[in-house]
Amino acid sequence: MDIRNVLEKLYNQNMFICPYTNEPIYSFLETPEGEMKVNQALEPFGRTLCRVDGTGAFFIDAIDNGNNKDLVERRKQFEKIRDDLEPIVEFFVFISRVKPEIGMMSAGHTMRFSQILNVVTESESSIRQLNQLMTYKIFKTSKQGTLEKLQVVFERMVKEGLLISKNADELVYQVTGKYDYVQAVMQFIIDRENIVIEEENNEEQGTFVI
Amino acid sequence: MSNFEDQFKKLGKAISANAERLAELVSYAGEEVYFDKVPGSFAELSHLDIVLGNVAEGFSASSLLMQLSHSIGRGDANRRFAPGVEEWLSTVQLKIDQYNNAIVDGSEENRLRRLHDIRELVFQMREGLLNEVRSMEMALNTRFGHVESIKDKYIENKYLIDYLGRLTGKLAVLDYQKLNSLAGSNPDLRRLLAQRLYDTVTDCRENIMLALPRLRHLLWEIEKQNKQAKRIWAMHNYFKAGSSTLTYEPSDEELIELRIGCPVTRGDNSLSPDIYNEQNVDTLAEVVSTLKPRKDITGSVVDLGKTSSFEGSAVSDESVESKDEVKQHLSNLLRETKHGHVSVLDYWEREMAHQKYPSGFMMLAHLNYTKIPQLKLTESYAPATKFDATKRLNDFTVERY
Repeated sequence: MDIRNVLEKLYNQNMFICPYTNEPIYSFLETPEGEMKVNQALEPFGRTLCRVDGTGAFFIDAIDNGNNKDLVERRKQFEKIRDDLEPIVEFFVFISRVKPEIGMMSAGHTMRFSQILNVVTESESSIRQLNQLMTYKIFKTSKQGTLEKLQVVFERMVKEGLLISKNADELVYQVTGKYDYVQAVMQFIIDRENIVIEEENNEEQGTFVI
Repeated sequence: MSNFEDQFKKLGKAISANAERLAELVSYAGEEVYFDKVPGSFAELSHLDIVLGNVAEGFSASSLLMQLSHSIGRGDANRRFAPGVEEWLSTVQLKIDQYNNAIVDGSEENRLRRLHDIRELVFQMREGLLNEVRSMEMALNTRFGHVESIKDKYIENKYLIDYLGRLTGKLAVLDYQKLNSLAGSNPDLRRLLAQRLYDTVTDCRENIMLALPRLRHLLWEIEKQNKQAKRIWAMHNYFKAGSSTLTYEPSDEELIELRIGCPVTRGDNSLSPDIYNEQNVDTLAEVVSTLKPRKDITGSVVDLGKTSSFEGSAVSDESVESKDEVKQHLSNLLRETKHGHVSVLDYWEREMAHQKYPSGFMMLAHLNYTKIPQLKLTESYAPATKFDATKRLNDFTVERY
């Protein structure tokens, strides 16, 4: 594995490496040898490999917890996610409403742009929801058509690293491992802001004994 | 020709002659279909319970035909499952009693027929158990790949758990003690029940044990997705209620514990590695050694012709070293011409200022480069003075055509 390539993704582009964004690099980082090599290369920059929930996507964190500049960077990172949380949440709610049979998406799930577009163009309420989505800063555009607006929404989600375009011809998008990271930040905020999670039993899971 | 062979041939002909009608019956999935006329071979299918009914009341597909059609249409996805264990045990017990009676009566033909029945029952159970385990493994390994939506996954997950429950129930009943007591001391029955069937039961148990971690992971994944969906809705409801600003400011310790990550700010010099720190030297050397050369600085180098190489081990002649160094600089200068014209004097001042005068290097460069037709040399001369009318070369630039 070309360490330079790995560093360009992790360090230069601040990418989250998951099986969906880059399977070969993800597999390499999962090996003790790969983890060691990349950590050695990151060390002079004061960075180290980190994983979402300890088992998910790879990203970089600072080594020195006492470094003031790094603490400022961490805070900026938190504020960015926190401020983008509403449009991100509303995007996933929008998709689950447009295609209820898909349900709420999670990392690894795919969707076809054409299917979403078909439903949106045929439903007044979906167009309203899309227009509502366009009022958020990260989705702002001067485009007027439904197709263009929807394209902007998907492009911005790709730019945020939450979706990846898997097939340019058929416009298939996949939710990346960064979604789990956003979920972790979300849980942190839910705990601190005392936001209520409603318990439902409509998707109960069974148990088994052998 | 054996009786079975003959029967199979007849069946094959009947199926072939009625393929269109069979397909229609399958498409109606057990509902009656009325055919105006059926060929004589259709009776063969009716006789074997492949189709049910008659011309007056209509025909319908039997469960055997439906299973066959599933096998044809979906490969391994719908194999025949193991029969209910309690009923199967009763039937086996019946056949064993009949088998023992045949032995007591001394009827060899009857004994062999009963043994054949028991062998078939054991085969049915073994095949069924193995198929069920294979189906479960397939559902696990394809990660419910054929379902259409996440909701379908929940449903399949519940089904899989029920399914595994039923399967483990069957395996729990078919223990060694039970099969051994059924077989008694008869060696034929012991080989069938206590060995062959029990071996299958053991294999199935082992396969289920191996599949358990995967199943647990699946359950964990689905539980995780469920929690994630609830978080999204909770946040959505929070924003919908007008609380669009999240104000919580975490402490530094909380951010470290959260592992929010620390991306690199562009242009922040402090994030550059300290190349003068000796602790970093080895790491940097290793990183550099793994880097591929950049394409844009590895252009073709114009061949200077055969040059003597200095090995440096046996000869310690300073003039040879110096000559070798000059040749290296001539090559380096040529490389720089890839990006445009290069002043030889500039190059000397940059790279060779440790020499006292540039004239020697410039002379060598001029001699070498004039021999290379791909190079254009542009000389600049110092103006003549009243004391010296000779033109003096000040500098010259080298560029590629």
